[in-house]
This record gives sequence, C-alpha cells and structure tokens, in this order.
Amino acid sequence: MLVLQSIILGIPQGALYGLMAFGIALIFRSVGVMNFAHGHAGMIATFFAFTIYTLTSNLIVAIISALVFGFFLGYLIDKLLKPIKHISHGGMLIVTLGLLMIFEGLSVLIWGTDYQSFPEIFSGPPLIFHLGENILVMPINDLWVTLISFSVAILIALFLKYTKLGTAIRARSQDEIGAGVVGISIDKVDSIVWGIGIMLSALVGVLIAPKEYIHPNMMVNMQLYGFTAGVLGGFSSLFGAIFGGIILGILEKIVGMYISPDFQLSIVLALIIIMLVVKPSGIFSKGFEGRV
Amino acid sequence: MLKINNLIVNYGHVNAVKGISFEVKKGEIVSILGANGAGKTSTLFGILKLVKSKRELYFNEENISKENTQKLVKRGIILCPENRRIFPGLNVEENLRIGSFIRGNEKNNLEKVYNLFPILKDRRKQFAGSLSGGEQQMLAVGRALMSDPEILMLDEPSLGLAPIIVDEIFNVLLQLKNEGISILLVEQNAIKALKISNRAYILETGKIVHSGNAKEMLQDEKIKKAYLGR
Repeated sequence: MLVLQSIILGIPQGALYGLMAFGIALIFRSVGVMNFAHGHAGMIATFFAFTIYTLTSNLIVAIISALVFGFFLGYLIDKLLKPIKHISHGGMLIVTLGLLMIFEGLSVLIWGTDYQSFPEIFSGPPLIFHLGENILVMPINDLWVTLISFSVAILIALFLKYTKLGTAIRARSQDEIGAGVVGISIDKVDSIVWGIGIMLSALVGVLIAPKEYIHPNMMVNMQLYGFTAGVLGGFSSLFGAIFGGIILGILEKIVGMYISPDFQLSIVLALIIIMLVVKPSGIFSKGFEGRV
Repeated sequence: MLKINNLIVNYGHVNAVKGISFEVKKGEIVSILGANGAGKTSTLFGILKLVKSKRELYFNEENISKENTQKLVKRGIILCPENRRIFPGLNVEENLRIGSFIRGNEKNNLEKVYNLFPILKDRRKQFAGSLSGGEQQMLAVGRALMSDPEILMLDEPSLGLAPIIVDEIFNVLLQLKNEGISILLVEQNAIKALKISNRAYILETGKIVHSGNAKEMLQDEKIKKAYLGR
C-alpha cells in the first residue's frame, strides 16, 4: 500500500519534472543549446508572478502574466545569444551557466533573499480513497498540478504536430539547411522555441511556489531533476521527457519512503551516471529523430 | 530571369567562389558543372544567402541583392539542396506540406507532386528517414515543387542513385521545363546534365573557366577530355 501511496504522491512531482525536461529538451533539440539557466529563468518569471499577485491579489492574472513574461524572457535570451549562436555545445553550456548567475543576482537585487509565499491554485481537503483496510491520500492541489501539467504537455505536443508553425519547429530541429530552403526563418523559430521553453519553466515555477516558496534558489532542484528526467527519457523524444519525469518522481518518493529521504538526490545523480553509461540515448529514444 | 553578378563566397580565409557572374533565362535549363570543391554548392548557397556572400542579384530585371533567404524563397527562387536535406522524423506528407511554408498552394501542389511521383503517395504516412535514397530524392524535388518555383535550383539530384531513378528524375526536370519553370542544375554527372541543358558553365576552383551552348560542349573534344572524363 505504501508503494501505491508513493506512486500517487510521485506522479504530480514527476509531472513537473517532466514539464521541466520537456522545455529543456525542446530548446536542446531545436536550437541545440543545453540550457542550464532554464530553472532560474522560470524563477524570475515566478517572482514576477509574485509581484503581480501582490499588486492585484488575483491568482489567475498573476499566473498568466508569469507565463507571458516567461515567453518574452525566453525570446529575449535568444536575441541576446544570437551573436554567439554557432559556438560549440560546451561553450554554450558555460554561457547558460553565466546566465544562471545573472538571473540569480538580478533576483536578489530586485526581490531580495527572503522566502515569499504564493497561494495554491486550488486549496481544500485532500482526496481520500478507501481501499479495504487502507487509505490513500491525494492532496487536491497536487491533482490540479498533474492535470495542468499533462494538459499543457499535450497541448504543446498537438501544436508541434498539427500546426504549420509547430511543423516548422520540428523541421528546423531536424535539418537547418532544409528548413532554410523552404523559407523557414531559423531566427524566428528559435526565438519562439526559447519563448515556449522558458514559459514552461515559468509554469513549473508558479506550480511549485506554494510548496517550495519563492526565493532565488527555488528552481535549482527542478533544473537538476528536469535534466535527469531528460536523460532518462532521452532528449530526442519530447514525450520521453515527460515519462522520464514521472518515473523519476515516483522513484524519488519510493526511495524516500523505503530507504531514506537523504538519498533522494544521490539516487538522481546516480541515475544520470547509470543512464549515460548504459543507454545514453534514453529509454524512449527513436533512431533518426533530430540531433544528438 | 535570374542574373547573378560577381558572386563571392568566403569561408574564413578560404575563397570558395571568386566573383562569378551568370544568368538563367526564362524556361531554360542551365547547368553548372565542375569537380568536387569547385564551388558549386557554395554558389547556390550564396545566391540564396544561406551562407554569407556578396553578389548582385537580379530577378526579372529587378535588383533584389539585399533580400534575405525568406524573401528570395517567397519570390520563387527555390533550392533543392545537395544530400536532399529532407526532414527524417517528419512523415512524407508533412515534408511536402512544409514545402508550402511561405509560398505555394498546399492542396493543389500536393496533388501535383503525388501525380508526378506516385510512390510518394503510397508512402505518405511513413517517416521520410525510412525511404530509400531514390524516394528521398523524389521527396526533395517534390518539396521544392510545393513552393511553386519560378526558378528551381537543384544540387546534385543524381547523387548516389541508381541509373533508372536518375533517368526518372531527369525526365521530371524536362517536364518541368516544358511547364515554363527555369532550372539551374548543378551536377557531377556532366554528360547527363548537358544532354538536357540549353547552356552550361564550367566551374573550377571558384571561377567560371568555360561557358556556352550545351550541345556544342558535348561535341567539343577539348572540353570532353578536360571536364567530362572521356
């Protein structure tokens, strides 16, 4: 029964890891940048939501403005990085680490280092299921977090699959020259991809804010877990990233329950190493999609 | 219809194309021939600004030297690139549809391409990466046709294909020519290219060393020896 409870608690957490991984993988596949400032960009957007919420006391307005802000922040990052677009993967990685520090400094400068609280989207008594002698508990906000994460992931997947712009994004991630000759503007597509990616990170930020509070380092774990989820699911498949996240979320809870919460992070790091040794392309990788 | 003046393409210190000028008239097939590294692909990329280049470009007498790749594609200057450059993880139909991204009527052209290459219709739900080389080349040509080219530039369409498929593709090119599409053909298979061309330019280390009527070039013993490998 404890296993079931771990799974129930792990799925919402995993869905958020999945969203993180989804954004990181989207940017990596299309633009070819492994973005280590992903979480921190979302953190800035979450602080923005906090400011809006303080001003308007309207949660929906705050969350939507965080998403819009996240999109433009991503757009801006792409414009900023444009002159150095074609440097190596390694070089770009260092640049995004630099971005991470800039965001951290900015947030301390503007909002300070205090922990700020942020309301839950849906508060109320948890759902309780009776299974014979046992009971299972599902916090109501977690249920909403899961539903929102899945719907957003599905929406973006549908956008990528069925719209003209979405197809252009996929085309660009698979062949830059090919995309150029059909008239796709690589610069525009990249900016939009960055926008969508950071918007996802902003969404994760506002969804975890009630639990983790808002502070400059709120997204460090998310960045790490999101990256691991991506490695697990394979950066070549966007849905792999989501499933990788869920597996990771469940695993984390099970480790916390049966071994010790102290080992949760170590397990994650060990997982990265094991995956990279055993199957570097990830569990759900496909043969010929996108870049490696 | 398309006139290129003084095209220069440099990669760092390497001068790939050293100031060449040529033109393609309406309804013509013009070949650019030359060995590996002569600058053929760079010429095409340079025209479309897919690489940094300097040149004057005239399209139907209009000076369009300053326009970017998207604007040039929008005008109907379409490249079918070397190595096909199709999107392996998109299915055949998606590959074709994206060809009409900024120019061309998606629905009508799709039908036209399927008529021209029926095999693509049979394979339309398959990933493009799972097609054979010949089918991939047909897909690449098909994708180019989806944008209603005014001038179609093809880079090595016969590369690595069986002779029977090459014939099929060259037949399609003749068909397109008869529909009034101008064609700029870059080929290593010089004899084959000259046979369907009106005129040809021979490129050597970034310079045009010879130009003229294709039929005459086929007869010219000196050119045959030096460039056509006979």
